[in-house]
Amino acid sequence: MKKKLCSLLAVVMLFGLVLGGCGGTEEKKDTADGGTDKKVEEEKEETGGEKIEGGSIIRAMPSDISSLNIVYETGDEGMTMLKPVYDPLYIESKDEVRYYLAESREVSEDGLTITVKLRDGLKWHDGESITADDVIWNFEYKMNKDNKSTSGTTVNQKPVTVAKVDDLTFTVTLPEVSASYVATLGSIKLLPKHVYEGEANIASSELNMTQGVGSGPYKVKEWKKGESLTLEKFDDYYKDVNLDTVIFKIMPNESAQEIAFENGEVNILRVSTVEKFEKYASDDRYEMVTLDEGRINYMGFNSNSALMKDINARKAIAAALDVPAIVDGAYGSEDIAVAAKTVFCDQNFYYEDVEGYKQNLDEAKELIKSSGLEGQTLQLVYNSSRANMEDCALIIQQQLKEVGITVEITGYETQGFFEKFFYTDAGDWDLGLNGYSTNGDNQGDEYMFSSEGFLSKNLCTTDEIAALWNQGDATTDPAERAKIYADLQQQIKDAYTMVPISDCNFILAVDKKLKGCDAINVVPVFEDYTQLYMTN
Amino acid sequence: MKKYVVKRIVQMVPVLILVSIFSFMIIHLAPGDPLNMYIRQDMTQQEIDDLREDLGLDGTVVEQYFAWLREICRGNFGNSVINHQPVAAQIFEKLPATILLMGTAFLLSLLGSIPLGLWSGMKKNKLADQVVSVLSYIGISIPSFWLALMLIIVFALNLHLLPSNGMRTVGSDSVIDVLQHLILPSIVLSVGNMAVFTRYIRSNTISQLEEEYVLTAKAKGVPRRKIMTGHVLKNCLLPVITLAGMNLASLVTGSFIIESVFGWPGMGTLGMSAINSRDYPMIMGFTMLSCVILIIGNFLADLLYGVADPRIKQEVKRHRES
Repeated sequence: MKKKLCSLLAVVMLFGLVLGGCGGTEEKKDTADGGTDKKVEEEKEETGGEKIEGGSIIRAMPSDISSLNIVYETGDEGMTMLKPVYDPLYIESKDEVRYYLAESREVSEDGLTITVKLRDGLKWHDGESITADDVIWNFEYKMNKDNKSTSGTTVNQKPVTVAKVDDLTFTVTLPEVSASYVATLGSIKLLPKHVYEGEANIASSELNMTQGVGSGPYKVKEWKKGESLTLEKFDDYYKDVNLDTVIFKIMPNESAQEIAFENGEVNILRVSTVEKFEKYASDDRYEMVTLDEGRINYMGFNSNSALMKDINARKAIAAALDVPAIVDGAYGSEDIAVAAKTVFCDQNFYYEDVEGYKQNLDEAKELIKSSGLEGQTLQLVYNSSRANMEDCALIIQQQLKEVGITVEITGYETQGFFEKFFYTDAGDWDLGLNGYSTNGDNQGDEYMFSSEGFLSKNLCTTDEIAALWNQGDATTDPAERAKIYADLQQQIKDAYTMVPISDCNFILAVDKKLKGCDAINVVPVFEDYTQLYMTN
Repeated sequence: MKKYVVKRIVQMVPVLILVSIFSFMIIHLAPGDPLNMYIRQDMTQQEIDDLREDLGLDGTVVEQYFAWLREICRGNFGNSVINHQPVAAQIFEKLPATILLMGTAFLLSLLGSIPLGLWSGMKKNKLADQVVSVLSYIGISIPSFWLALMLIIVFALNLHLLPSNGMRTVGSDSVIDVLQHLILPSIVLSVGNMAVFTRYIRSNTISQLEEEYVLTAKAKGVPRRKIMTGHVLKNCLLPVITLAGMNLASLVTGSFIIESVFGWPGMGTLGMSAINSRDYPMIMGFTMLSCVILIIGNFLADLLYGVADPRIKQEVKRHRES
């Protein structure tokens, strides 16, 4: 009996070992994966800072991508891990246009036609040429609703028209003026026509799990699901690529990520608390990279809450809050976040440095009486999976208590929070803490505030605000647009839609030998992986 | 015997149906919607409604349940609503890693607990027993995630002896590399079970040593070692068989926490990711697999009971005949 039991267990273990795909002989360890061999003493050596050819970086990710097709990867993992694999056409920032697959883009005077010219000699990772035919086909498959990716193919629910001019040039004609579409077009990620053409349904194609044929500086070398994604330098990329390998390791646990970083097993760690910031900033093995995240965290008023329908109630709460104190208490340092004043930030195309809501306790107390908030208990919901949200909620609770408002706070994990905050209109919460990325064209934030946006069903807004959003997109003159978005900032403030709380930074602690992390100050980080390099 | 096996298999059906109903209802009651993963800011309500229909998320929960059940009866676990790939294939892809980890941990816990439990029972109330008992209590009480982090800090960060994360070094396919990665998570997972098993075996050893057959053996001059290994051990293993049966499900479900801490690419991380994204077909596939294995585990435990102790088989037989 004992022997049988032991034999059975041994077989189970052996079975798992064999199925685990771990056969073969031991190979030399990849030097990129510092692993256990890397000595801390080595890392303590001063870096000379001289650029070296090649090298590898390893970055930890909390979860894996679900496929190799970037079009269907809507989460942060896909945007981060597949970014080096798929290049956009171009990226519009507030100061410049950075061209990738495209060599140029021109917008007609009437704003209705965009002509894009691709670079000559571009290759897909399997060696096929990238041409205008690929672009046309990408629009065609996106317009087929079965493929579940219509992004970039419509303007105000009306389809755009795409036409080939020559092998490298195409035009996109809009059904009506949309100033923001130029940026949308640039960020479209292309799939290779020759790989996917003929697939009945691209969304559920098995090719998504095996191919990953992209156009970026790195191509997929190996994807071990749930473990790692290894990318290697694409030799036929149109410009020089420094690092030989980029590896993403899946590490769901934050503490484990930190330990792996300190152990030299990963080169980059995201830092979101002041304690960690100070710890790594004072360690000479690391360098801190601070980027403008272009993220505004805010407290929204629920338009479906009976109490919050009254603008005076919203005014009372805004006047009761000391936003800089909330940010100071929750984030602890201006390196992590500063108090937000308005709904846009410096990373937006158009931004006016306006004054935020000011704390005025006397006014708050008066408004509390007149609006019937006195003696009421408010429900505040927040996303418990997001860093610093709980701290913000607790401080807000405390500040509102000082003016006689009782607040009950409830944290929900991400999915539960979004369901409550965006998708249901039950009115069973009054205040909600959330955040949104707002870099790039301001029109990207329309869904948050426009009364026509389905995501804004819980936020207090006005018809005037909705009209201004439409006007902002229908205007092509930059000076005119600047005025419209400045007006929007003021109108949203006057409508007491939300109290902007924090304007965040995206901070990385990186191995000191790795350079180029802050070459382009945008988030998601490393827009251009060719800028990264190692030093000796 | 055949009749008994068939009877138990038939009994599994209503259990599975009940579990599936409860699981389906509970996951749909949780706030959140897998559709949220697809919704983009430029979508219209009509597009969202169409998408919901495409993903089979329209209709009532009852309708969705029967649609799911109909497919299950055809052997189709459905496709993930996140990456649209078959659920069964994704589960079976993750199984080997989990079986390896959980099987190793279970084996370690048995290998540790049997000698410790026997020794502790033999040395009842002596120093050795007290030491083993204290260690067992610590093993039962210690939070596994804390132990995991402590071991990582000591063996990976400070001593650089073992890797801290993952199942293998990127780019390596060697067995030795996998075994090195296996050491820490399997030790952490085995500690709790080892402590519980040790307590059971100790307790049984004490009661068995007071049985008359042990006295008889002693009187006949049978060596102590032979009494322990030949007679006492076999009887002591009975409760371990029950526990082993109950643990069989964890062989395939893995450990959400430990797989997460060690970045082990098994069923635990798959389950966690499915829950976070409200991937209903994946959660149901995962739950039903766990349920089937748990039932099979209990069934095997019952059968092994008979093998370990013929009196039980006889008792069952007499009960059926009467």
